[in-house]
Amino acid sequence: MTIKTKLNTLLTAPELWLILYLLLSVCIQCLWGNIDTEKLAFPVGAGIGLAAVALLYVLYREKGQSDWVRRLRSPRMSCWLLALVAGWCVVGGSLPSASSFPTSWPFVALLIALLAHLALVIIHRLHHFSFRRDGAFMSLHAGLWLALFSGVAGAGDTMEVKTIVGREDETIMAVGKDGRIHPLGYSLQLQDFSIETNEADGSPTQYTARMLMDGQPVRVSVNSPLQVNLAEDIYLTNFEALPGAGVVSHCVVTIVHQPWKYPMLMGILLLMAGVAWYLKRLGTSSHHS
Amino acid sequence: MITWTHYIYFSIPALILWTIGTAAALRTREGTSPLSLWTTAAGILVYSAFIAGLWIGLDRPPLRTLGETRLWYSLFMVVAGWLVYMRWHYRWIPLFSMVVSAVFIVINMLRPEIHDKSLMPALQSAWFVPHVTVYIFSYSLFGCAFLLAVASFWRRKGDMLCSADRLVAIGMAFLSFGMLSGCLWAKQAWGTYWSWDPKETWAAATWCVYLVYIHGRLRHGGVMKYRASCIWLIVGFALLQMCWYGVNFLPSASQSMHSY
Repeated sequence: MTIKTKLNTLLTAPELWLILYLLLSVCIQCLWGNIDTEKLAFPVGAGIGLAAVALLYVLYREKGQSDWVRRLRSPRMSCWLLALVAGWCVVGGSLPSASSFPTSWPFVALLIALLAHLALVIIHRLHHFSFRRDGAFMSLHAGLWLALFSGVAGAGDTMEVKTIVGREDETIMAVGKDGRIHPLGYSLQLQDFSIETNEADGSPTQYTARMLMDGQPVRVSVNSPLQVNLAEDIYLTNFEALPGAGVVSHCVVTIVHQPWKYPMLMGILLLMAGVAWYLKRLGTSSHHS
Repeated sequence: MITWTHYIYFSIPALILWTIGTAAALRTREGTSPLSLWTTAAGILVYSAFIAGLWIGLDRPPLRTLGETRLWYSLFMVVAGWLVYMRWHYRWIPLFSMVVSAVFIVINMLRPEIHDKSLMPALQSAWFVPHVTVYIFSYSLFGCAFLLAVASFWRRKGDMLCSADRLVAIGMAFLSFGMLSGCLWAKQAWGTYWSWDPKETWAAATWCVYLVYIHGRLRHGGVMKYRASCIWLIVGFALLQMCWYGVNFLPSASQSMHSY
């Protein structure tokens, strides 16, 4: 093999371009720090994502049979991307949570590359799709794509705020993670707080806050949030009792605004269906063998 | 009522039965030993009886603490080894799965983490039992796959990896169920499906590594050779230990939502 051929092979290797792409993201990280996810709020994140899918479709239609595109959607590329994600998770999992590694440029760049790879794999499979043969495969890959896409594109639209709800006054504001104050759009006031206990040892088994929301009675318990609207839910996070009296004076609630929760849920359910299907197939093939 | 004080009366007979089963398996050159299968099954029944009794005694599933999860792991490890032996006839697998199980049993005996409290409200959920049990079952399958990987690496032959492929495929399905049920539970309890909490981050790393193995082994002898396959299985198992209890020793664990 001549030097020219070797160089050509190296330059056309998608893995090389993946590494260069990640190095670029590292440079951006060093220059500008973490990504401001608010800038990706709807419609920016969703628009970019859908445009990228359209571009990948065109790329597949025009160059789908080329060696480069084949290698982009190959299991080898899956291994590379998954190994890199795993590596970055190991680094991120070892760092203090203050490092915010999920919003770092290299990690987001990796997730975007994984999304693009998954999209190419799905587009390819759709071209000769058979429900019986490809159903489990499609359910797994499309589910993962949808869940990942909802997480990445929906990060800018997700907002989590906390507020203290007392018995005396109505609460109409909440504080975000960044310390900014946000109006709730409704009022909350604590009416009653109950603690269920285990008769055997007296340990608590459930906390329930009964509140007034714009004058209407509502209740929030642990593991049982209150749905305000399609995108927003209220969670019971904490409480504080008056010293000596034992009466809960106020509770802390977390309000989560996540309009992408339904596509995310759809992705998770698709993945679960795919896993069940795959498991059933494993059982069948084991039986036949 | 069965409590942790009765643990020794169940675990020692179970260990004796498993040792007999292991010895019978090692003595059998071809196929499976019926004595091994039956004595191991009897040991599993004895050990399961303790778990069932403890469950009733505590009035909650014994799945909350590290000690309690070790209880399930030591059971599922032997169950997985028993199934692998029954299916593929590796006569040494009952020995290894029994040794790993015995390590966890001895730890539980020497450091009995007795917990007689009810589950805290955050853990009072219908998701609790399926989430934890499928996870622990997948851990035991990956434990067996790890043993096969170490044996293959040692013998410098990849003939056992077909069995490891099967174990990883099934383990991966259970691991995914555990992770996805955890996502649904997290949304119900905390408001987000995935928050990149330290435990979740290590779980993602583990999931990805086993996916690398599965994708690498799509075509036998194709993308991934046996040596690389063994290394990925060993790395995956190491990450799994990190996700299970190793993460508790990291500084970031203090802020984890998974520390109860």
